[in-house]
Amino acid sequence: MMTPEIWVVIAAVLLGLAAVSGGLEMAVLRGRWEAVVLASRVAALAALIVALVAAAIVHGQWSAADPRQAMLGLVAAMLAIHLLLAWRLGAGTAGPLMDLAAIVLSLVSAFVVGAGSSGFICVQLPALYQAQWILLSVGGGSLLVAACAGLMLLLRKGLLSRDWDLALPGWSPLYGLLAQATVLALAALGSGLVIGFWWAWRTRGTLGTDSAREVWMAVAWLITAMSLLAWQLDTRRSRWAAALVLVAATAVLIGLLLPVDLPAAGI
Amino acid sequence: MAEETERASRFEPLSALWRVLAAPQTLLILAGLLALALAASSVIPQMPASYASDPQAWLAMQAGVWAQAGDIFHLLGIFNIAGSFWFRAFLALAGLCLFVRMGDSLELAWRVTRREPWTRASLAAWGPHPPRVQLSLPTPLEGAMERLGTFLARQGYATRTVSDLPVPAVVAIRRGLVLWTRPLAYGSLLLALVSLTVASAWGWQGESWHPREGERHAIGPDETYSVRLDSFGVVLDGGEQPSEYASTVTWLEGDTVVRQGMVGAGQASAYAGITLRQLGYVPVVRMRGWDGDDQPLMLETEGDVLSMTGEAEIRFDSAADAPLVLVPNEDLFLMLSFEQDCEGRGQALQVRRIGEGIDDGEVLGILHESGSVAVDGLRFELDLAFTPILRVDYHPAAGLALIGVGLFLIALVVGWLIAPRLLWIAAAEGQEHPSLVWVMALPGAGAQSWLSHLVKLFREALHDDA
Repeated sequence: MMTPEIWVVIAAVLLGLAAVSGGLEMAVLRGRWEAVVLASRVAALAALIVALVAAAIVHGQWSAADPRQAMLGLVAAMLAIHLLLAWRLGAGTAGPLMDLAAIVLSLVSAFVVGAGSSGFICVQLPALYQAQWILLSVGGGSLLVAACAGLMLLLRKGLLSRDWDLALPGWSPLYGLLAQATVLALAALGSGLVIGFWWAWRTRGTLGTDSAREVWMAVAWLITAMSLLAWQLDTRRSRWAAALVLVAATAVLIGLLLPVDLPAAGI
Repeated sequence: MAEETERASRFEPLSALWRVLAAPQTLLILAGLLALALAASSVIPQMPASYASDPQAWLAMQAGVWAQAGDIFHLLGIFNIAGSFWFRAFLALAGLCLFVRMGDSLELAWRVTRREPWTRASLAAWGPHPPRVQLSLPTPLEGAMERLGTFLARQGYATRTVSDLPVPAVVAIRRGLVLWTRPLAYGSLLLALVSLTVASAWGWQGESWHPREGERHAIGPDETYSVRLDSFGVVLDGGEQPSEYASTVTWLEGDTVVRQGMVGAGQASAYAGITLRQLGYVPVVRMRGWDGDDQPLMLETEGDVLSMTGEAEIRFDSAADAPLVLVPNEDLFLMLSFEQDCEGRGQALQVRRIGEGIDDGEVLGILHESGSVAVDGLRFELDLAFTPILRVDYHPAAGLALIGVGLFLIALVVGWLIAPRLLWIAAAEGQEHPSLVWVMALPGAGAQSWLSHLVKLFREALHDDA
């Protein structure tokens, strides 16, 4: 079986193809670019899932405590949620920005986080802890989708003013994607945090967590709630919502890259 | 008339306060401050609860800027952010905002459910600048409103007339019952906040202790109750594999047994609101040593003022502890540590000889049960046993906090999946077109998106009719 790094490179190449095809589609060149984008993203998602399995085999088990697996899981969740929201639920698509962000994050997970990860952690993690981090990854992935939609919204105005005759994603579908991904992120991150608090309460009788990773996820949840609340502002509501979602996505990435403190998590 | 104007312009402090607390900006700022405080608490060292009675001892251990301005930071609550006065003030203000928003959304949901008449005052929920789309229609005003009404009825909307506006206006409602998820969401977050306040204000947490079998430990502020450890051991998972370690305990009031129970990982025993938990377990090692002539060796352990001949008991403070044992006559240092065994045989005791530094030296043996190790003709026997780490706490209403957050998430997901729709539609005669119609949605996530989609469908319907 090939190493996780090779699968990540394959996924990055496929995502690159999706980004280029998406760019050509925006440049209004003739061709079935939308089908190429969709096929490339689905194939990249499959390659990332194989990379995740390969990373779990190298590590000895599937573990949310392994930073590389956590990052790979986050990128896979991001792609899956984008596919689900954009094609199944009829929300918009964040365009090539989404693919570029996925390329950067997957390469970071394979070559930067991978090189620095501590390797073998043989502690059998409780199912609840794993479930918590699956939900937090889904929430983080949704936040990254929302952040890409927000970034596209912020860039869109500048690109339109340049008179390049681009077929950019419409603002209404982008608003839809931003809003749906934000609500999904709030629900998934919140569920993960509730499980974490429940676990801390059952094992240690504490009302909070001492784990810096979980604290940053709680920070991300609060900022996501702010983004949702920003839609109720009287003016510049979408700009505020987009900017806050970008900050929340940054908090998720900081949280995931922090070292794992299993005793602090009650393990 | 003058009296009416005076009444209208009179400043009402309570109404102003309500408006400030109901404004999304207020909750946004508070949530931002709470997020900043939480992020800061993961960067700035936080004082453990065990140092609450002697903060100066903890401050003396700090270095750098935390030591230089330690007293000021301590006074400002920087080293105990979650317990600081300003953090609690933010939480209290956030609670007030949630209460006010719950009140407003409750009023809206009640109006929709009871089908109460809509007036100019009841349209305040839309705010001064709601998401809106303007339509210019080629038909006269009355006909335009009728066509829009027919279209909305086909889309599942029920329409109500707004009575006291100078222009024709209606409110269109679809899935109005789901509007109850809004007060439920705000109310459940408020419940969580109040429960957390009650739990932290009236709750307490005892010190952890490592009892041997048969030992009793008085608990609680007034020591009314005590807990006795009856046994501690491995719980098998049905086969031969150990699944976890658990303790059987007895609760006593005086000398009267009031309850018996088992505590393990994630399994607590509660009596009279007090909860007993097993935080983990640590090894207790009884060690004996002999030299080459079978003469007992003098062993000295950390914390012992006097050396003991022949036998020493080494207690671990925590699973991460690594106590040292000195064999004075042989100038030999041994370090014991509790290591994770990655081959599926649970945890093991590692005995290491310490060399020049604490990190170099050689591993003399890894023991999964009692056994012996040898070095330089010396022999050591180690009896390995485990004791649980127990702790009691009392946190009234803490469970309600979790229920509150859980209810909030349910309300959020239901409100997302079955999104309620509320539209305010106003019309007027136009200059270039016979009629102008404004369709306005309640401000919220994605409102502009679905509103545009709805208007697009209406335009398509008009086109089809034409």
